[in-house]
Amino acid sequence: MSAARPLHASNARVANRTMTDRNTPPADFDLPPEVQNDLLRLRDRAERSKQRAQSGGKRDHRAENLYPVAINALVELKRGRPATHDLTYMPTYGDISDCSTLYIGLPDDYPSASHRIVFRDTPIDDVSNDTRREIVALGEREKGKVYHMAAQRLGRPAYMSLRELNEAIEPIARPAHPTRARTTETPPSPPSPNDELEVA
Amino acid sequence: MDTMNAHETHDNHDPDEDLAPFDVNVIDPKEISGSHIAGLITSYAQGDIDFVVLGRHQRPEAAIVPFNAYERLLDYEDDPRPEHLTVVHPSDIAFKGALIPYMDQYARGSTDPSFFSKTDEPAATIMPFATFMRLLKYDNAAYVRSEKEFANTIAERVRKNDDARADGTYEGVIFHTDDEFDQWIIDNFGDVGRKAVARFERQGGEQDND
Repeated sequence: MSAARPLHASNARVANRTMTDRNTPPADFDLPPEVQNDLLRLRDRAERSKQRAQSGGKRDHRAENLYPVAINALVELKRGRPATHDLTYMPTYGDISDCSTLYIGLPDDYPSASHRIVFRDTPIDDVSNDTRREIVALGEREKGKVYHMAAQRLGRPAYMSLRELNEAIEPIARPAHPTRARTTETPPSPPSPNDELEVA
Repeated sequence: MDTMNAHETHDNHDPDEDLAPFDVNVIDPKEISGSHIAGLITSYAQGDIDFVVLGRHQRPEAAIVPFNAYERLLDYEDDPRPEHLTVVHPSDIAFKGALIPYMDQYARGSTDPSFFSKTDEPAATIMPFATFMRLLKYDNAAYVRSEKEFANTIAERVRKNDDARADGTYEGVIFHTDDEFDQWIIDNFGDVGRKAVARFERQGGEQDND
């Protein structure tokens, strides 16, 4: 994993989720290529199952049903669907406590859904209340796979909290805020030494 | 016949450690008849189960695995496939308990596998339990390797993504409006995407909150 830009004090607000009205649809919705791959993987599994069934093989009903459930969930997330719950720091996964999780699964899975969508809401600028919702990972809950994947994608090493990352002398993690800006976006203000990362 | 999927034993990710003891039903060979073997062969062909463990007094003595699992073992140990395999047809196993001689043979130290099939091509292999455990360990190590490869792939993707974000060639998609997103979902996921958008609109934007 590449060492990246330092965790930046101006990103501290990312973790302070009280700033974000999470029932409000996000202004921007970010689907990174990794998540597109997650979706394509679900689609491929569903299509393989259908092809197998056509040639007399065993059908994977779970795969076929999970794919539309995941797409439905994304459409809802784009419209501001809130998370099932916010994530807290669990050292073995890497700190993704600035993220939230949405349970997705089939009725048969009740009470524990098989898959999760991990995402985070970040303010777009310092002026408006607009947020960008970034989908980080979509995957299986089993053995925490989706959370490991999310931490890895965000460059969050295990056994290190966001606070520790922020305090590290050497930059070792990708910033918690995407650097790509909208053309109309106000440039982020420079970091203030008084800013402090708040971990939910 | 009670069974256990092999991948359920793969919780242990360190290939150098012994596999954790697993809770597996040991089937008494005196309960097994030719029709059971025939059913097992069908289940293997359909991919429903991975193996069956046999033994007297709940002590594992042998396992029956799909033939391709036995071929994997040969690959792992770099052994050539035997030129001639004697295949027993399930209909030739006339009575329950016909597999007991295999257990006796393994207890005397034999490690020779035997093969079952409803055709001339072997479909299932019975082997001593110790051999089976070796196969599980190899499979476990291969699984861990593939997980590591997967992790490396993800790490590489993260690196590329970081770089892309830094130099402005980010390949992700950022949507500013619902319409943009809906169109993208429909373009990429066809009917499933269209139905998801229609479903949301039909519900008047109401969400199923957990």
